[in-house]
Amino acid sequence: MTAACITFEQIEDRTDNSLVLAIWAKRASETALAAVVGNMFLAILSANLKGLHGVLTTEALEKFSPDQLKELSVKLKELMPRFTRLCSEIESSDMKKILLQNLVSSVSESTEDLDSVLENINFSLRPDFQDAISSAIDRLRLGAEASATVPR
Amino acid sequence: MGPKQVQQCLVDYRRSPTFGYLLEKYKKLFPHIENDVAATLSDARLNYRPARHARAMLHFNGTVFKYRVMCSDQGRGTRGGFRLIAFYDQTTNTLYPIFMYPKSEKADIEDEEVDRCLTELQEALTNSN
Repeated sequence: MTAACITFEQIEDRTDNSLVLAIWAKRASETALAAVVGNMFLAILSANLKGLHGVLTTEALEKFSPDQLKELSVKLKELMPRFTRLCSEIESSDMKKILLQNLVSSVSESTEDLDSVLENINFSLRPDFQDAISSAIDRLRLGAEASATVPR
Repeated sequence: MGPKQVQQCLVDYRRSPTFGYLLEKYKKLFPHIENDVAATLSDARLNYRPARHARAMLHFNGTVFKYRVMCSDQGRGTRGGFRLIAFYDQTTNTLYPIFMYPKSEKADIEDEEVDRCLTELQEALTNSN
């Protein structure tokens, strides 16, 4: 499936899957078998997050309505603190950190990527912010051709 | 799949009065920020689309990009750090930084962060020449 043709429902499914995986990964990392079970869930979570970030391209997001973007923003807002907490908790334990370091780094990086997506969505939902960016571009005084390429 | 396209461009970081204002402002708090920004723009010059996890901002027709800037003065890599927004002018193949802001590390204050960014940008628009 290419990012350009993904539907909103498919993105919702992927986001929900990531949420479930984050919960499982957290539980798994708390067990005595964290090295084995935690590794497995973190590997799946990491792949899932990379996939989610891969489909949340600017081109794909621009096809969604403001209401859909708001809905996606709410879902991502729910996800982000879970991933951040999961990574910090694992990193605060020396043993888990050693055993799960590579996967935690990967999840942490994907979390930051998704945070950037969320921020872009939030910026896009604020016409006043978009107008301010347009004003900053106008201040470059590049002429009418450059200004005309700007927004909405 | 063919080789990935490298999109080199020129970078003009002196043209935007809003960016100039903000850079001077943050230099007082973060003495190494100019070098950090230069490192980011150096990467962007070589390939402006994927450099530093760049993302095109929504609704600007692929002309406005957001880059991550590490902050040496904070010492935590690009997490936290700054974000730099730049306008790409296709006619001259030039990237112009227009706005930068410190990125909060907290993941749950997105709405407040947009407000804070907007305030910073409006202040820069008002106070820059």
